[in-house]
Amino acid sequence: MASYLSSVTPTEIQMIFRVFIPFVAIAVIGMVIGRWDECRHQKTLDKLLCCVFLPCLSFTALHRYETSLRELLLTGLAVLVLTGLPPLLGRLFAGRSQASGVRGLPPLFRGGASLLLPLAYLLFGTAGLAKAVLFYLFVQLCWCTLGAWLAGGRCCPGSFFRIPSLYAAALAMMAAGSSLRAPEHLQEFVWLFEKGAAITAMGALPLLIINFGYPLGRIGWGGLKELLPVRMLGVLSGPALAFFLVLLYRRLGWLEVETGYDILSHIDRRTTEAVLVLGASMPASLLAPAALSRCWSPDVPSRLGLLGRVFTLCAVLFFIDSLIFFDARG
Amino acid sequence: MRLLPRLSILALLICALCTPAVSAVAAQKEVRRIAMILFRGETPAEQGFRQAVSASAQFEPAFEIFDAAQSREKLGAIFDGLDPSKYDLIYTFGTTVTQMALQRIDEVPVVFNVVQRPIEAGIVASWQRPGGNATGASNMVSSESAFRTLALVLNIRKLGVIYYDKDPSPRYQVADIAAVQDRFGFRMIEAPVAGTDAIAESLERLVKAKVDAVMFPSDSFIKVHADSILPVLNRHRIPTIVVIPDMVKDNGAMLSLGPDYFELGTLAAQNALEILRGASPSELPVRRVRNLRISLNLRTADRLGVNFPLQLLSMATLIP
Repeated sequence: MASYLSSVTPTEIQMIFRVFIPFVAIAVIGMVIGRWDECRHQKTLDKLLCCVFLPCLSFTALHRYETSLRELLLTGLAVLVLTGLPPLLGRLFAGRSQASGVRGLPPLFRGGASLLLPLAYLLFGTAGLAKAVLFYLFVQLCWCTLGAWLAGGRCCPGSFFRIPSLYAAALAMMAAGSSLRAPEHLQEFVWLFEKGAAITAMGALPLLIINFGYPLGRIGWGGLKELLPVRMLGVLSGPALAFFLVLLYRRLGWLEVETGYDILSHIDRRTTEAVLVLGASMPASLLAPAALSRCWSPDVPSRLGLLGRVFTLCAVLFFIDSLIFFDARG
Repeated sequence: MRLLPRLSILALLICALCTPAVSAVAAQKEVRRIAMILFRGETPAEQGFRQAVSASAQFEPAFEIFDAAQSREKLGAIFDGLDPSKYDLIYTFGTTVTQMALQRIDEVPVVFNVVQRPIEAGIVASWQRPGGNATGASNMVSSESAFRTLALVLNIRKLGVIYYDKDPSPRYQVADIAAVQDRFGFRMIEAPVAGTDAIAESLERLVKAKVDAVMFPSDSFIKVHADSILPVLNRHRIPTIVVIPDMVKDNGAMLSLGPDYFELGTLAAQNALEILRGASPSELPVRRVRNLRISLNLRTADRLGVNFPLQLLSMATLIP
């Protein structure tokens, strides 16, 4: 283990901090704004993100990305396990009568997945963003089906089809998969459209982080008692489950470990693993078991808990770098 | 006084016992003469080749090096003065040298190295069964792979490609890039260079076209003149991707995707040793490295304002 951790080079540490510091700074800006205007613009912000920025981001991420059926299946299965298993286990252990915490789960699923997008882009580039968008869409599907069932006793898959990002992603995948090319005289317009979407997509990244920080201005610090011990379990269970899942995928041969001749395919497989682990480390997955065990109510989050999560996320990144990317080092 | 004669006898005995062993080893190592014809001096590929051949327990290689110093005229002169029958094997570097060697040598086996497209260049009939008197190691990297590497870092709309238009080898790679441009949604801007004097003009064309990045195929001419090409592109903040890994370290290219040249040399040596043992080059498959390597120049990337994603930083060779 020590040799794995020592394999993280100073450049990589520097890179992780380069991503984290602006990320935290933007979230704090969002928090200050939220506190200042008492979160009056939350709905507007949500609508802007949902209807304009996220669709542009989804399109930009996927329109030049070759999505394979295998990748879709692997991501879909992982999301189902990561977001579905902890609440189901919680429900099993806590019993139906203690389902009050369950009501807070669906919004958490949703918020956490969208937070993954800027982080995946900043850490793993365009390939990471494309995979994160797929992860995000599968989380939305889980939210509308499993999440809705957990919260209200019935699924509402119809609401999944009202998500604009879904259509943007579908359009992008069709564009990436099709061999059709716009006529020469229209190409400049196509590129202009792409560029416009790309600019909006880049704008989505800080806005998503601001949106994450925005409601935090109104929450309290909470107590240390709240942080331990069930919460810690909740914080660690997401990434732990994801690492286990990655190992299982490798063991089953679904994500080969061999580098092979084409290092890019190898990098692609490792990026998929990294995004799965990062996605599982987002607040949504982290809070699910704690919420279900009734030790914490998702309606009353605490800043201290959030701080704990930020540190966990930082640690997860080091683990991703040392455990997932380690094998390929020369 | 009686000790000295005893010691002398002992020393004589040891010598007598060891001499046959030493001479046996010497007798086992057969001397083989290898001519190494290079285009741009010794690279890590030649170091790997020499090291691997010299490590053989069976042969004592005697290398003779001929360097064309990047001049086709000098290369022609080398071949004019070369008597192939004096050698057991001819080692060639690059497509141009190998093609010229095959035009003039047909009885001595040729082991080539760093040839991107041996089939297209007419050097071998197929990867598995070369057919003629040449086999070796290829540094083949598909242009699609190179583009995919670049796309990990940048969103490319216009991709410049600079190459020496008198060399057939880069043309195959340029054709490859052209074939994938629709699929990946970029436009290729070609910048062929006709000679040293035309470099500035080609670069100006790329800068004016506002390309998002420039790709360098495996091209000895461009490698030789890299010091007058890459600083100009870096100054205009244009990212570059190369196939020759040395260009990242020596010339300041941003990123490379390609085989390790030392390893390539070792692979070519394996074929050479097989031939020296009696195998026919026509039956020995052309070798390729087991996996490609990525090198990143962090200083150049910093200057260009490019951030490498974590997975690339973790898996690549980093040049500070």
